[in-house]
Amino acid sequence: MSFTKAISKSLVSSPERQKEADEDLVIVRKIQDGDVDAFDALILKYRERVYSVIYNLTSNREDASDLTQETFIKAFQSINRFKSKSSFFTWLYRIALNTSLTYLRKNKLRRFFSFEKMVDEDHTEGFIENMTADSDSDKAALMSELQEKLNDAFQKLSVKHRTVITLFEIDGLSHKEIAEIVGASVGTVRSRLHYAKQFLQGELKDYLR
Amino acid sequence: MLSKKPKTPADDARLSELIRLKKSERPDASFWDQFDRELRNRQLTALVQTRSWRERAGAIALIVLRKSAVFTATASILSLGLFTAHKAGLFPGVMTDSKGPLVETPIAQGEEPLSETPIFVVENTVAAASDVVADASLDYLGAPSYKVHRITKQSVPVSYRIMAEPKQFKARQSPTEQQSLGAKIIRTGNQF
Repeated sequence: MSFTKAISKSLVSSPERQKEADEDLVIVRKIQDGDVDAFDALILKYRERVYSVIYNLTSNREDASDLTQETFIKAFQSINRFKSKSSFFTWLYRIALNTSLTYLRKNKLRRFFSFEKMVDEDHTEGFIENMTADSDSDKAALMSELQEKLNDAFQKLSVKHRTVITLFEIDGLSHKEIAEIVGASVGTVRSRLHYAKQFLQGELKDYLR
Repeated sequence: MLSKKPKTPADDARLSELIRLKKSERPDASFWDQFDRELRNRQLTALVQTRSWRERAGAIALIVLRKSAVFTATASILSLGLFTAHKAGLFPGVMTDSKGPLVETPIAQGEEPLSETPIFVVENTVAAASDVVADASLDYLGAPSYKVHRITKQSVPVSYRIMAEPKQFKARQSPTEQQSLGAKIIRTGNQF
């Protein structure tokens, strides 16, 4: 096992993640050897996850789309500098995060929100069942209201806290992986996560009964 | 606003569930079609830009090299020309040799420089006589006397024109009577 692969392995938490990381590394090597079309596989694999992270950071679907593309372009342009010191996905997420943070800093004063529709019934089903609305239209209205409240609460979080809770709760990354991506200690990640959850609990208490 | 109420595991799970609702905020298939198209275009642009940048860098390097080559050639030609002219002595009064500066010898108008300084010797033509008293100044006591003269003016090679002051040798028979002994040139410097 090569040194870089060993480092990469130590940074990946689960066997599934490790398998993914190894597969990514094979593709990355192909790209580095000149097979630029191999990059499409990485786009297809990570575009939705990257988009989701950026979308939840920016709360603007158009910007999220643009920034996701920018993330992949940056990754594509600098793929030859990727030395496998971290997994490809950690590296890609870091690019996505930096791109988003740069955007958020530049557009602090003129930001507006545009949200995606909730299309995944698997996630909404439990909440819809618990809603006391009689008709479907009432349920839809309640869901829309919930989405608005949820996004409002998210936007009240600082970017650092929003990042951590997005990566943990929505993307399902471990504390260690998040720490790698944001460049902080695991303790800091836990602390930020705790604060963010506490804050959201206060903001969304009406929906948590 | 922070919740001051202590969290229970159930609260935590409920909150996580609520947050995960955001997972359902996903774009539809048409969004991804457009996304892929735009990304492909940007990717191609990035590729072209990368190549253009490299080409530009190459072109710039070539231009610099060409310009420097022209400059170097021009400078070399000029240097060579100057060096040649310098060596050829086209620049009067300019030192051309490391041995030392040229020393210009002033030459009078109509004169040729003398390669050597001719001399001539004048012999007393009068046979020595015991009664002949040489020039008192020479304190001549009967022996032939010679006077060496140095030519200080131009001489003509065929017939020497001695510009020296004629020298009179006189025999003194007595302190009151002096006789000119005459003189003739017996040698010149060129004949030495």
